[in-house]
Amino acid sequence: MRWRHQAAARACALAAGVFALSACATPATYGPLGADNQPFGYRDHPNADGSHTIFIVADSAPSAHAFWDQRAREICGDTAYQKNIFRAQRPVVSTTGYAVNPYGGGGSYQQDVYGSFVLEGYLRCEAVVPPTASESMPEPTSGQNSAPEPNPTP
Amino acid sequence: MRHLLGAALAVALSACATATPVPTMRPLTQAQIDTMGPTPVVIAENNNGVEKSWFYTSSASAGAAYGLVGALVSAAMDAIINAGPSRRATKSANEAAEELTLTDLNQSLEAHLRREIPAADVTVTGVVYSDVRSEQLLLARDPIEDVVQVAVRYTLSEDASTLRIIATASYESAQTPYATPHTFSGSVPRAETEGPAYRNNFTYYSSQLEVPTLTPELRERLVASVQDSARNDAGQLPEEATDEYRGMQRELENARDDRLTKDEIAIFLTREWLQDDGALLRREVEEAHVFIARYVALDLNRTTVPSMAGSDELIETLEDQRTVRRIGQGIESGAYISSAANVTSFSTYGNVIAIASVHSDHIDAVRDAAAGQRRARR
Repeated sequence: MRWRHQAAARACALAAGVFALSACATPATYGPLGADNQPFGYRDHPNADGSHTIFIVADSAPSAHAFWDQRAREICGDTAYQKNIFRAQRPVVSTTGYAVNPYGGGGSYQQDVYGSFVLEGYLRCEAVVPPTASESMPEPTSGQNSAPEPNPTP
Repeated sequence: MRHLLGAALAVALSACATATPVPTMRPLTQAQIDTMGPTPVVIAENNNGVEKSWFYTSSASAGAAYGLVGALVSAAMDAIINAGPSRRATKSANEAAEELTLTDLNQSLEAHLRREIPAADVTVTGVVYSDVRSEQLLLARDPIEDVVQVAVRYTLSEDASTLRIIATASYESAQTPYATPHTFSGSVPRAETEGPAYRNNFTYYSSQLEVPTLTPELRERLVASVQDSARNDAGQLPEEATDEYRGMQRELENARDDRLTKDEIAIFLTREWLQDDGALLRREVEEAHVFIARYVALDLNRTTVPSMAGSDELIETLEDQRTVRRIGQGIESGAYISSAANVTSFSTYGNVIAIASVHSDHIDAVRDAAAGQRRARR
Protein backbone atom coordinates (compact mmCIF):
# COMPACT_ATOMS: atom_id res chain seq x y z
CA MET A 1 0.00 0.00 0.00
CA ARG A 2 2.77 2.35 1.00
CA TRP A 3 4.59 1.48 -2.21
CA ARG A 4 1.50 2.52 -4.22
CA HIS A 5 1.37 5.88 -2.42
CA GLN A 6 5.01 6.49 -3.18
CA ALA A 7 4.59 5.53 -6.82
CA ALA A 8 1.58 7.84 -7.13
CA ALA A 9 3.51 10.69 -5.49
CA ARG A 10 6.42 10.12 -7.88
CA ALA A 11 4.07 10.10 -10.87
CA CYS A 12 2.46 13.34 -9.66
CA ALA A 13 5.85 14.98 -9.17
CA LEU A 14 6.92 13.87 -12.63
CA ALA A 15 3.69 15.14 -14.18
CA ALA A 16 4.06 18.46 -12.35
CA GLY A 17 7.65 18.72 -13.57
CA VAL A 18 6.70 17.98 -17.17
CA PHE A 19 3.84 20.48 -16.96
CA ALA A 20 6.12 23.16 -15.51
CA LEU A 21 8.75 22.58 -18.17
CA SER A 22 6.19 22.65 -20.99
CA ALA A 23 5.02 26.03 -19.70
CA CYS A 24 8.59 27.36 -19.93
CA ALA A 25 9.08 26.18 -23.49
CA THR A 26 7.25 28.97 -25.30
CA PRO A 27 7.92 28.55 -29.01
CA ALA A 28 9.55 31.66 -30.48
CA THR A 29 7.15 33.23 -32.93
CA TYR A 30 8.09 36.22 -35.05
CA GLY A 31 6.39 39.49 -34.17
CA PRO A 32 6.88 42.82 -32.43
CA LEU A 33 8.21 42.52 -28.88
CA GLY A 34 5.68 43.23 -26.17
CA ALA A 35 2.60 42.83 -28.38
CA ASP A 36 0.26 40.27 -26.76
CA ASN A 37 2.96 39.68 -24.12
CA GLN A 38 5.24 38.34 -26.85
CA PRO A 39 8.52 37.46 -25.08
CA PHE A 40 10.43 36.93 -28.34
CA GLY A 41 10.50 39.06 -31.46
CA TYR A 42 11.81 42.39 -32.71
CA ARG A 43 11.87 46.09 -31.93
CA ASP A 44 13.37 48.71 -34.21
CA HIS A 45 13.76 52.43 -34.70
CA PRO A 46 15.25 54.73 -37.35
CA ASN A 47 18.55 56.53 -36.66
CA ALA A 48 19.54 60.10 -37.51
CA ASP A 49 21.92 58.91 -40.24
CA GLY A 50 19.17 57.07 -42.14
CA SER A 51 19.99 53.61 -40.81
CA HIS A 52 17.73 51.53 -38.56
CA THR A 53 18.52 49.72 -35.34
CA ILE A 54 16.92 46.27 -35.07
CA PHE A 55 16.77 44.62 -31.65
CA ILE A 56 15.87 40.92 -31.38
CA VAL A 57 15.10 38.62 -28.45
CA ALA A 58 14.89 34.92 -29.36
CA ASP A 59 15.10 31.45 -27.83
CA SER A 60 18.08 30.31 -29.91
CA ALA A 61 20.96 31.77 -31.89
CA PRO A 62 19.61 30.67 -35.31
CA SER A 63 16.17 32.10 -34.48
CA ALA A 64 17.74 35.41 -33.44
CA HIS A 65 19.58 35.73 -36.76
CA ALA A 66 16.52 34.60 -38.75
CA PHE A 67 14.31 37.18 -36.98
CA TRP A 68 16.88 39.92 -37.63
CA ASP A 69 17.07 39.13 -41.34
CA GLN A 70 13.29 38.85 -41.64
CA ARG A 71 12.79 42.27 -40.06
CA ALA A 72 15.53 43.72 -42.29
CA ARG A 73 13.72 42.41 -45.38
CA GLU A 74 10.45 43.91 -44.15
CA ILE A 75 12.06 47.33 -43.68
CA CYS A 76 14.14 47.41 -46.86
CA GLY A 77 11.69 45.60 -49.15
CA ASP A 78 13.33 44.76 -52.44
CA THR A 79 16.34 46.96 -51.74
CA ALA A 80 19.59 45.27 -50.79
CA TYR A 81 20.85 46.03 -47.30
CA GLN A 82 24.00 46.14 -45.23
CA LYS A 83 24.01 44.92 -41.67
CA ASN A 84 26.30 45.58 -38.75
CA ILE A 85 25.52 43.34 -35.79
CA PHE A 86 27.11 45.07 -32.81
CA ARG A 87 25.58 43.10 -29.98
CA ALA A 88 25.07 39.35 -29.56
CA GLN A 89 24.68 38.44 -25.93
CA ARG A 90 23.03 35.98 -23.60
CA PRO A 91 22.54 37.60 -20.22
CA VAL A 92 22.44 35.51 -17.07
CA VAL A 93 19.15 35.81 -15.19
CA SER A 94 18.14 34.71 -11.71
CA THR A 95 15.17 32.40 -11.41
CA THR A 96 13.25 31.19 -8.41
CA GLY A 97 11.27 28.01 -8.16
CA TYR A 98 9.76 25.45 -5.86
CA ALA A 99 10.94 21.84 -5.96
CA VAL A 100 8.76 18.99 -4.66
CA ASN A 101 9.90 15.62 -3.37
CA PRO A 102 8.01 12.32 -3.69
CA TYR A 103 7.04 12.46 -0.01
CA GLY A 104 4.85 15.56 -0.34
CA GLY A 105 7.44 18.03 0.92
CA GLY A 106 9.45 20.60 -0.94
CA GLY A 107 11.40 23.81 -0.80
CA SER A 108 12.03 26.99 -2.76
CA TYR A 109 15.28 27.76 -4.49
CA GLN A 110 17.01 30.48 -6.48
CA GLN A 111 19.51 29.88 -9.21
CA ASP A 112 21.11 31.62 -12.19
CA VAL A 113 20.43 30.45 -15.72
CA TYR A 114 21.31 31.73 -19.17
CA GLY A 115 18.55 33.97 -20.49
CA SER A 116 17.28 34.61 -24.01
CA PHE A 117 19.46 35.37 -27.03
CA VAL A 118 19.73 39.11 -27.62
CA LEU A 119 20.84 40.35 -31.03
CA GLU A 120 21.10 43.98 -32.06
CA GLY A 121 22.46 45.63 -35.16
CA TYR A 122 22.30 48.50 -37.60
CA LEU A 123 20.52 48.10 -40.90
CA ARG A 124 21.20 50.26 -43.92
CA CYS A 125 18.94 49.79 -46.92
CA GLU A 126 20.83 50.55 -50.08
CA ALA A 127 21.44 49.04 -53.46
CA VAL A 128 24.89 47.55 -53.58
CA VAL A 129 26.68 48.58 -56.77
CA PRO A 130 27.92 45.43 -58.52
CA PRO A 131 31.66 45.39 -59.25
CA THR A 132 32.64 46.48 -62.75
CA ALA A 133 34.71 44.22 -64.97
CA SER A 134 37.93 46.10 -64.11
CA GLU A 135 37.43 45.64 -60.37
CA SER A 136 38.32 42.35 -58.82
CA MET A 137 37.12 43.40 -55.36
CA PRO A 138 34.39 45.92 -54.48
CA GLU A 139 35.56 49.18 -52.91
CA PRO A 140 34.79 49.49 -49.23
CA THR A 141 31.61 51.47 -48.74
CA SER A 142 32.29 54.95 -47.47
CA GLY A 143 30.00 57.53 -45.97
CA GLN A 144 29.52 55.68 -42.70
CA ASN A 145 31.30 58.36 -40.72
CA SER A 146 28.65 60.97 -41.24
CA ALA A 147 27.15 60.64 -37.79
CA PRO A 148 27.71 63.84 -35.83
CA GLU A 149 30.27 64.07 -33.09
CA PRO A 150 28.70 64.14 -29.64
CA ASN A 151 27.85 67.74 -28.95
CA PRO A 152 28.36 69.01 -25.45
CA THR A 153 25.41 71.15 -24.51
CA PRO A 154 26.69 74.68 -24.03
CA MET B 1 -7.63 50.02 18.28
CA ARG B 2 -8.34 52.36 15.36
CA HIS B 3 -4.74 53.64 15.44
CA LEU B 4 -3.42 50.09 15.47
CA LEU B 5 -5.59 49.15 12.52
CA GLY B 6 -4.50 52.28 10.67
CA ALA B 7 -0.84 51.53 11.29
CA ALA B 8 -1.25 47.91 10.16
CA LEU B 9 -3.01 49.08 6.99
CA ALA B 10 -0.26 51.65 6.28
CA VAL B 11 2.43 48.97 6.66
CA ALA B 12 0.50 46.59 4.40
CA LEU B 13 0.03 49.26 1.73
CA SER B 14 3.64 50.42 1.91
CA ALA B 15 4.68 46.89 1.00
CA CYS B 16 2.80 47.32 -2.28
CA ALA B 17 4.42 50.67 -3.11
CA THR B 18 7.13 49.99 -5.69
CA ALA B 19 9.56 52.86 -6.12
CA THR B 20 9.37 54.38 -9.60
CA PRO B 21 12.58 53.35 -11.39
CA VAL B 22 14.71 56.14 -12.83
CA PRO B 23 17.87 55.97 -14.96
CA THR B 24 21.15 55.49 -13.10
CA MET B 25 22.73 58.28 -15.14
CA ARG B 26 22.67 61.71 -13.47
CA PRO B 27 23.44 64.70 -15.70
CA LEU B 28 24.86 67.96 -14.39
CA THR B 29 22.76 71.12 -14.63
CA GLN B 30 24.08 74.20 -16.42
CA ALA B 31 24.48 75.95 -13.06
CA GLN B 32 26.57 73.03 -11.76
CA ILE B 33 28.69 73.02 -14.93
CA ASP B 34 29.35 76.75 -14.52
CA THR B 35 30.29 76.26 -10.86
CA MET B 36 32.62 73.34 -11.58
CA GLY B 37 34.67 74.63 -14.52
CA PRO B 38 38.15 73.04 -14.62
CA THR B 39 37.99 70.03 -12.28
CA PRO B 40 40.62 67.45 -11.29
CA VAL B 41 40.10 63.78 -12.14
CA VAL B 42 40.89 61.02 -9.64
CA ILE B 43 41.26 57.48 -10.96
CA ALA B 44 40.23 54.81 -8.49
CA GLU B 45 43.24 52.51 -8.84
CA ASN B 46 42.22 49.22 -10.38
CA ASN B 47 42.89 46.24 -8.09
CA ASN B 48 41.34 43.31 -9.98
CA GLY B 49 43.27 43.58 -13.23
CA VAL B 50 41.72 41.70 -16.14
CA GLU B 51 38.93 39.61 -14.61
CA LYS B 52 37.79 36.34 -16.14
CA SER B 53 34.05 35.74 -15.97
CA TRP B 54 32.68 32.23 -15.55
CA PHE B 55 29.39 30.54 -14.75
CA TYR B 56 28.91 29.05 -11.29
CA THR B 57 26.55 26.12 -11.80
CA SER B 58 24.17 25.60 -8.92
CA SER B 59 22.31 22.39 -8.17
CA ALA B 60 20.06 24.20 -5.69
CA SER B 61 16.93 23.17 -7.59
CA ALA B 62 17.81 19.47 -7.13
CA GLY B 63 18.51 19.77 -3.41
CA ALA B 64 15.83 22.28 -2.42
CA ALA B 65 13.13 19.65 -2.08
CA TYR B 66 15.06 17.70 0.58
CA GLY B 67 15.64 20.30 3.27
CA LEU B 68 18.96 20.56 5.11
CA VAL B 69 20.28 17.23 3.79
CA GLY B 70 19.46 18.30 0.23
CA ALA B 71 21.19 21.65 0.78
CA LEU B 72 24.34 19.92 2.09
CA VAL B 73 24.39 17.42 -0.77
CA SER B 74 23.87 20.13 -3.41
CA ALA B 75 26.61 22.27 -1.80
CA ALA B 76 29.01 19.32 -2.06
CA MET B 77 27.92 18.69 -5.66
CA ASP B 78 28.41 22.38 -6.52
CA ALA B 79 31.93 22.31 -5.10
CA ILE B 80 32.82 19.34 -7.32
CA ILE B 81 31.08 20.68 -10.45
CA ASN B 82 32.57 24.15 -10.18
CA ALA B 83 36.13 23.25 -9.17
CA GLY B 84 37.33 22.84 -12.77
CA PRO B 85 35.72 25.97 -14.26
CA SER B 86 36.88 28.03 -11.28
CA ARG B 87 40.47 26.82 -11.62
CA ARG B 88 40.49 27.42 -15.36
CA ALA B 89 39.08 30.95 -14.96
CA THR B 90 41.72 31.80 -12.35
CA LYS B 91 44.39 30.41 -14.67
CA SER B 92 43.20 32.69 -17.50
CA ALA B 93 43.25 35.67 -15.12
CA ASN B 94 46.75 34.69 -13.92
CA GLU B 95 48.03 34.52 -17.49
CA ALA B 96 46.52 37.93 -18.31
CA ALA B 97 48.08 39.41 -15.15
CA GLU B 98 51.54 38.30 -16.29
CA GLU B 99 51.21 40.42 -19.44
CA LEU B 100 49.18 43.34 -18.18
CA THR B 101 49.91 44.52 -14.64
CA LEU B 102 47.78 46.81 -12.50
CA THR B 103 50.37 49.54 -13.03
CA ASP B 104 50.03 49.14 -16.82
CA LEU B 105 46.26 49.54 -16.63
CA ASN B 106 46.28 52.50 -14.24
CA GLN B 107 49.08 54.35 -16.04
CA SER B 108 47.46 53.90 -19.45
CA LEU B 109 44.14 55.32 -18.22
CA GLU B 110 45.92 58.21 -16.52
CA ALA B 111 47.86 59.04 -19.70
CA HIS B 112 44.74 59.09 -21.86
CA LEU B 113 42.81 61.25 -19.41
CA ARG B 114 45.79 63.66 -19.28
CA ARG B 115 45.65 64.04 -23.04
CA GLU B 116 42.15 65.52 -22.67
CA ILE B 117 43.42 68.36 -20.43
CA PRO B 118 43.12 71.53 -22.54
CA ALA B 119 46.32 73.43 -23.33
CA ALA B 120 47.07 76.35 -21.02
CA ASP B 121 46.57 78.98 -23.76
CA VAL B 122 43.13 77.72 -24.79
CA THR B 123 40.03 79.48 -23.51
CA VAL B 124 37.72 76.84 -22.09
CA THR B 125 34.08 76.83 -21.09
CA GLY B 126 32.21 74.25 -19.09
CA VAL B 127 33.76 71.33 -17.25
CA VAL B 128 37.28 70.35 -18.34
CA TYR B 129 39.91 68.18 -16.73
CA SER B 130 42.39 70.34 -14.81
CA ASP B 131 44.60 67.53 -13.47
CA VAL B 132 44.64 63.72 -13.31
CA ARG B 133 45.89 61.56 -10.47
CA SER B 134 45.36 57.99 -9.22
CA GLU B 135 44.41 57.03 -5.68
CA GLN B 136 43.89 53.75 -3.88
CA LEU B 137 40.18 53.86 -3.00
CA LEU B 138 39.58 50.19 -2.20
CA LEU B 139 38.70 50.95 1.40
CA ALA B 140 37.54 54.55 0.96
CA ARG B 141 34.24 55.07 2.73
CA ASP B 142 33.34 58.50 1.41
CA PRO B 143 33.62 59.97 -2.09
CA ILE B 144 36.33 62.56 -2.67
CA GLU B 145 34.89 66.06 -2.77
CA ASP B 146 34.97 68.16 -5.94
CA VAL B 147 36.74 65.73 -8.25
CA VAL B 148 35.56 63.65 -11.19
CA GLN B 149 36.09 60.10 -9.96
CA VAL B 150 36.67 57.37 -12.57
CA ALA B 151 36.72 53.64 -11.83
CA VAL B 152 37.23 50.96 -14.50
CA ARG B 153 36.68 47.18 -14.68
CA TYR B 154 38.15 44.87 -17.30
CA THR B 155 36.35 41.54 -17.83
CA LEU B 156 36.92 38.74 -20.31
CA SER B 157 33.75 36.96 -21.45
CA GLU B 158 33.22 33.33 -20.45
CA ASP B 159 34.76 32.02 -23.66
CA ALA B 160 37.34 34.87 -23.61
CA SER B 161 36.24 35.93 -27.10
CA THR B 162 35.44 39.48 -25.95
CA LEU B 163 36.93 41.93 -23.47
CA ARG B 164 34.39 44.19 -21.78
CA ILE B 165 35.63 47.39 -20.17
CA ILE B 166 33.22 49.39 -18.02
CA ALA B 167 34.05 52.83 -16.61
CA THR B 168 31.96 54.60 -14.03
CA ALA B 169 32.40 58.35 -13.69
CA SER B 170 30.92 60.41 -10.89
CA TYR B 171 31.16 63.85 -9.32
CA GLU B 172 30.06 64.87 -5.83
CA SER B 173 30.43 68.14 -3.98
CA ALA B 174 28.68 69.93 -1.15
CA GLN B 175 28.65 73.03 -3.36
CA THR B 176 26.65 71.33 -6.10
CA PRO B 177 24.23 68.95 -4.37
CA TYR B 178 22.13 66.57 -6.43
CA ALA B 179 18.53 67.60 -7.05
CA THR B 180 16.55 64.95 -8.87
CA PRO B 181 15.25 66.08 -12.27
CA HIS B 182 12.63 63.31 -12.24
CA THR B 183 9.07 63.70 -11.02
CA PHE B 184 7.46 61.18 -8.71
CA SER B 185 3.80 60.62 -7.99
CA GLY B 186 4.39 60.44 -4.24
CA SER B 187 7.37 61.43 -2.14
CA VAL B 188 10.84 61.42 -3.67
CA PRO B 189 12.63 58.09 -2.93
CA ARG B 190 15.54 58.47 -0.53
CA ALA B 191 18.05 57.29 -3.14
CA GLU B 192 17.10 60.31 -5.26
CA THR B 193 17.76 62.80 -2.46
CA GLU B 194 21.45 62.04 -1.98
CA GLY B 195 24.59 60.90 -3.73
CA PRO B 196 26.64 62.28 -6.61
CA ALA B 197 25.52 65.25 -8.70
CA TYR B 198 26.84 63.45 -11.78
CA ARG B 199 27.09 59.74 -12.59
CA ASN B 200 27.30 57.70 -15.77
CA ASN B 201 28.65 54.44 -17.21
CA PHE B 202 30.81 54.00 -20.32
CA THR B 203 31.15 50.48 -21.73
CA TYR B 204 33.60 49.34 -24.37
CA TYR B 205 33.34 45.93 -26.06
CA SER B 206 36.47 44.74 -27.83
CA SER B 207 36.52 43.20 -31.28
CA GLN B 208 35.50 39.57 -31.03
CA LEU B 209 38.01 36.77 -31.44
CA GLU B 210 36.93 33.89 -33.65
CA VAL B 211 35.65 30.99 -31.57
CA PRO B 212 37.56 27.80 -32.53
CA THR B 213 35.79 24.65 -33.67
CA LEU B 214 36.64 21.26 -32.19
CA THR B 215 39.17 19.28 -34.23
CA PRO B 216 41.22 16.21 -33.18
CA GLU B 217 44.30 18.45 -32.92
CA LEU B 218 42.46 20.96 -30.74
CA ARG B 219 41.23 18.12 -28.52
CA GLU B 220 44.79 16.93 -27.97
CA ARG B 221 45.91 20.45 -27.11
CA LEU B 222 43.02 20.70 -24.67
CA VAL B 223 44.03 17.43 -22.98
CA ALA B 224 47.62 18.66 -22.71
CA SER B 225 46.39 21.93 -21.24
CA VAL B 226 44.32 20.13 -18.58
CA GLN B 227 47.36 18.07 -17.60
CA ASP B 228 49.55 21.18 -17.50
CA SER B 229 47.08 22.89 -15.19
CA ALA B 230 47.07 19.89 -12.84
CA ARG B 231 50.87 19.73 -12.46
CA ASN B 232 52.36 20.87 -9.18
CA ASP B 233 55.28 23.28 -8.83
CA ALA B 234 57.71 20.40 -9.45
CA GLY B 235 55.92 19.63 -12.75
CA GLN B 236 54.45 16.32 -11.55
CA LEU B 237 50.91 15.13 -12.17
CA PRO B 238 48.76 14.43 -9.07
CA GLU B 239 49.05 11.01 -7.47
CA GLU B 240 46.28 8.46 -7.90
CA ALA B 241 43.50 8.32 -5.29
CA THR B 242 43.89 12.00 -4.45
CA ASP B 243 41.14 14.59 -4.98
CA GLU B 244 43.39 16.43 -7.42
CA TYR B 245 43.79 13.25 -9.47
CA ARG B 246 40.05 12.62 -9.55
CA GLY B 247 39.45 16.26 -10.54
CA MET B 248 41.99 15.96 -13.34
CA GLN B 249 40.40 12.73 -14.59
CA ARG B 250 36.98 14.38 -14.68
CA GLU B 251 38.35 17.33 -16.65
CA LEU B 252 40.15 14.97 -19.03
CA GLU B 253 36.89 13.12 -19.68
CA ASN B 254 35.24 16.46 -20.49
CA ALA B 255 38.14 17.47 -22.71
CA ARG B 256 37.91 14.24 -24.70
CA ASP B 257 34.16 14.50 -25.35
CA ASP B 258 32.66 16.04 -28.48
CA ARG B 259 31.67 19.30 -26.85
CA LEU B 260 33.76 22.42 -26.52
CA THR B 261 32.55 24.31 -23.45
CA LYS B 262 32.97 28.05 -22.97
CA ASP B 263 35.76 27.65 -20.42
CA GLU B 264 37.55 25.16 -22.68
CA ILE B 265 37.36 27.69 -25.53
CA ALA B 266 38.72 30.32 -23.14
CA ILE B 267 41.93 28.31 -22.66
CA PHE B 268 42.81 28.90 -26.31
CA LEU B 269 41.43 32.40 -26.74
CA THR B 270 43.18 33.72 -23.62
CA ARG B 271 46.45 32.73 -25.26
CA GLU B 272 45.47 34.62 -28.42
CA TRP B 273 44.96 37.74 -26.34
CA LEU B 274 48.39 37.29 -24.80
CA GLN B 275 50.44 36.57 -27.94
CA ASP B 276 53.28 39.03 -28.70
CA ASP B 277 53.51 40.28 -25.11
CA GLY B 278 49.76 40.79 -24.93
CA ALA B 279 49.69 43.10 -27.97
CA LEU B 280 46.01 42.48 -28.73
CA LEU B 281 44.96 42.96 -25.11
CA ARG B 282 47.01 46.15 -24.80
CA ARG B 283 45.57 47.56 -28.03
CA GLU B 284 41.97 47.05 -26.91
CA VAL B 285 42.68 48.48 -23.45
CA GLU B 286 44.27 51.57 -25.06
CA GLU B 287 41.29 52.01 -27.39
CA ALA B 288 38.90 51.69 -24.47
CA HIS B 289 40.82 54.31 -22.50
CA VAL B 290 40.67 56.72 -25.46
CA PHE B 291 36.89 56.22 -25.58
CA ILE B 292 36.49 56.68 -21.82
CA ALA B 293 38.69 59.79 -21.57
CA ARG B 294 36.92 61.49 -24.46
CA TYR B 295 33.31 60.63 -23.69
CA VAL B 296 33.46 61.33 -19.96
CA ALA B 297 34.69 64.87 -20.78
CA LEU B 298 31.89 65.36 -23.30
CA ASP B 299 29.17 63.89 -21.13
CA LEU B 300 30.08 66.09 -18.15
CA ASN B 301 28.90 69.04 -20.26
CA ARG B 302 25.67 67.45 -21.43
CA THR B 303 22.60 68.52 -19.47
CA THR B 304 19.94 66.33 -21.13
CA VAL B 305 18.00 64.31 -18.58
CA PRO B 306 17.81 60.63 -19.57
CA SER B 307 14.37 59.16 -20.11
CA MET B 308 13.09 55.70 -19.24
CA ALA B 309 11.22 55.43 -22.55
CA GLY B 310 13.27 56.85 -25.42
CA SER B 311 15.36 55.29 -28.18
CA ASP B 312 19.06 54.55 -28.43
CA GLU B 313 21.06 57.20 -30.25
CA LEU B 314 23.82 56.35 -32.72
CA ILE B 315 26.51 58.91 -31.98
CA GLU B 316 29.57 57.90 -33.94
CA THR B 317 30.64 55.33 -36.52
CA LEU B 318 34.39 54.81 -36.84
CA GLU B 319 36.42 53.72 -39.88
CA ASP B 320 36.26 50.06 -38.86
CA GLN B 321 32.46 50.32 -38.38
CA ARG B 322 32.80 50.36 -34.60
CA THR B 323 29.87 52.38 -33.26
CA VAL B 324 29.26 54.47 -30.19
CA ARG B 325 25.68 54.75 -29.04
CA ARG B 326 23.85 56.30 -26.12
CA ILE B 327 21.23 54.13 -24.47
CA GLY B 328 17.79 55.71 -24.68
CA GLN B 329 15.59 53.67 -22.41
CA GLY B 330 15.45 51.78 -19.13
CA ILE B 331 17.63 52.33 -16.09
CA GLU B 332 20.75 52.33 -18.30
CA SER B 333 19.40 55.30 -20.27
CA GLY B 334 22.09 57.91 -20.90
CA ALA B 335 24.97 55.40 -20.69
CA TYR B 336 27.46 55.16 -23.58
CA ILE B 337 28.40 51.91 -25.32
CA SER B 338 31.20 51.46 -27.82
CA SER B 339 30.68 48.22 -29.77
CA ALA B 340 32.79 46.43 -32.34
CA ALA B 341 31.23 45.75 -35.73
CA ASN B 342 30.00 42.47 -37.15
CA VAL B 343 29.83 40.47 -33.96
CA THR B 344 29.25 36.79 -34.68
CA SER B 345 29.06 34.63 -31.54
CA PHE B 346 26.85 35.23 -28.52
CA SER B 347 28.91 36.47 -25.55
CA THR B 348 28.11 35.63 -21.96
CA TYR B 349 29.65 37.12 -18.83
CA GLY B 350 28.63 34.42 -16.34
CA ASN B 351 27.60 35.12 -12.76
CA VAL B 352 31.01 35.26 -11.04
CA ILE B 353 34.50 36.51 -11.85
CA ALA B 354 37.94 35.13 -11.17
CA ILE B 355 40.85 37.43 -10.49
CA ALA B 356 44.54 36.63 -10.69
CA SER B 357 46.24 35.27 -7.57
CA VAL B 358 48.75 38.11 -7.67
CA HIS B 359 45.88 40.63 -7.56
CA SER B 360 44.18 38.79 -4.68
CA ASP B 361 47.46 39.04 -2.77
CA HIS B 362 47.68 42.74 -3.64
CA ILE B 363 44.13 43.35 -2.32
CA ASP B 364 45.00 41.48 0.90
CA ALA B 365 48.13 43.63 1.26
CA VAL B 366 46.11 46.85 0.83
CA ARG B 367 43.62 45.67 3.47
CA ASP B 368 46.39 44.60 5.87
CA ALA B 369 48.16 47.94 5.47
CA ALA B 370 44.94 49.82 6.22
CA ALA B 371 44.27 47.64 9.27
CA GLY B 372 47.85 48.29 10.43
CA GLN B 373 47.37 52.03 10.10
CA ARG B 374 44.13 51.86 12.09
CA ARG B 375 45.88 49.91 14.86
CA ALA B 376 48.76 52.41 14.91
CA ARG B 377 46.33 55.32 15.33
CA ARG B 378 44.72 53.74 18.42
